[in-house]
Amino acid sequence: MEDEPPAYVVDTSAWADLRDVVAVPGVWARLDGLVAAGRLIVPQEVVVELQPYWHALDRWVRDQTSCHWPTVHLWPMASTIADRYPDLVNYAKFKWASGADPFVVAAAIIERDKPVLLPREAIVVTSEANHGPSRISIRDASDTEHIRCFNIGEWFSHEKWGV
Amino acid sequence: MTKAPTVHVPAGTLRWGRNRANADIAEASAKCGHDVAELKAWEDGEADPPLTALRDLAVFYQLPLAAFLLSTPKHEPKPTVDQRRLAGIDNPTTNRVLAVALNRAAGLQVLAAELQEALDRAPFAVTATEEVDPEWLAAQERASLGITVAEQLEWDDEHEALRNWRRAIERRGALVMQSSLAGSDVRAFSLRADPPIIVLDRSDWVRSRIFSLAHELGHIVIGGSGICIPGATRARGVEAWCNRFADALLLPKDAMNGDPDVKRLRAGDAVSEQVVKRIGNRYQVSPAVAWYRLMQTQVITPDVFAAAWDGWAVWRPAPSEGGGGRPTAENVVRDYGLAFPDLLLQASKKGLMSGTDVSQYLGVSGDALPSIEREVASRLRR
Repeated sequence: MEDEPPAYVVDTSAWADLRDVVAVPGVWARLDGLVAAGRLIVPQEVVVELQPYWHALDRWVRDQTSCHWPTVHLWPMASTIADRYPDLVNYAKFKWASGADPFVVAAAIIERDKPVLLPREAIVVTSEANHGPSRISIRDASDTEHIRCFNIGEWFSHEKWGV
Repeated sequence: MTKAPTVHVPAGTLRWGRNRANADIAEASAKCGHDVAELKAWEDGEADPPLTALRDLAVFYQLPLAAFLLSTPKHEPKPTVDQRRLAGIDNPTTNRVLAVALNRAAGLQVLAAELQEALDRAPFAVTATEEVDPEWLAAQERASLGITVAEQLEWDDEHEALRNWRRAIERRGALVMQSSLAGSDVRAFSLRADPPIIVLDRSDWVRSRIFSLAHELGHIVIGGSGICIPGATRARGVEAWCNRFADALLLPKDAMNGDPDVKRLRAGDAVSEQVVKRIGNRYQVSPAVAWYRLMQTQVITPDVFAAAWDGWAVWRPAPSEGGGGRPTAENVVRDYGLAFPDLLLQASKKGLMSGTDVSQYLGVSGDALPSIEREVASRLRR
């Protein structure tokens, strides 16, 4: 597991923060490299949440259909996660927000537990903080499920991208 | 033809979503393009709905799609309103428009409470009970809101009046939001708890909204809530108390006594439609408020008041031409006021939530956040 490079499941908040970073030379090529290596996972609900945005990065995410994980496939695991961490479902956010968090955690678990010869780690990339106000956040849920969570800085540093 | 992909929704979850939105099953089935029997089977967990239909239902029920993942709906605070306390007025029916607005306000209130605590903001002070004389309390509240009659007389128009009243009440510690309640028979509501939240009907006449705002302030300063038709003629109990409070807040006795038109009426001039409208225009209140205050301050007799009240109670100016589209930042300030967006932006700066969270709570694209931040900051400085 140590030798196999990890896959990254990137949530909506991380894509939003990446918009400010993507202009740095080399970032596009590195993202393209992750896609080519099959190491980037974008749950379909994250794509849905990015629909209102027309930044070059959002358009790029939409175009990377090979990385999109369909909601119908994630639904059963996402249901389990939502029941386990109901705080990930936020009724107050409904407009332009489908509630992608349970799908992000579900995608990471499915990827990690894939029955393959060389399993690999799946890391959630998010800009959310631990312990949102009185709520379980995506980071808390990931911690409990033994899924590592990175912010963008940690992600870049783990990949030794040094931008 | 390939069958649309389906997903399993636990029995009861879709029905809960529909009931939460107070939506009729026939209406909901029409919205998602499936017949009632199919929707009923999905609600009972006997068949799996297509994802596309679920997305349509999520939009109609104003829920995130993820709400349909849950086998047991999340506990959420019920709006703290006892509708039986709508003293004296016919109970407004809780239709879909009102249910959705109440759910949304209650959800945002919980969020605001958590953020206020995390940011160490001062709580809202409940100052009295409904046993207190509303006239007296209105004077106290007006002093603490810091709006003088002289300032009120300087306001250019009713829009400026609403902005200033709203801002003063936000400074007092309440959240003031606007939502279209058209289609319900309610014109405003308020939810107690800290921070209290007032929601006005965005489609109502501006001066009616000013009165509704003052009326709902009456509810929250005595620690109450209400789903209201402010100014309702048959109001009793706490609703009548809040009407009286609102009248006195907007048109204090001293202002009435010093008003040139009122002085002329006291000297024997006949009351006319023009005079009533002129008093209303001077203080940016509706003629109904002016008419009520003329009676309450004994300028006109109860009989004279009663003879024309039905007309004034429903009087509205001719609707003006609708304006063009507004920038997103202005819409946010119109709908959420300044206090709530400011709270979210401060929380984001302190790392309590991400920028994506802020935009999703405000229901706007994240691209709009810088302009919202500028708009809020510039209006807070004024």
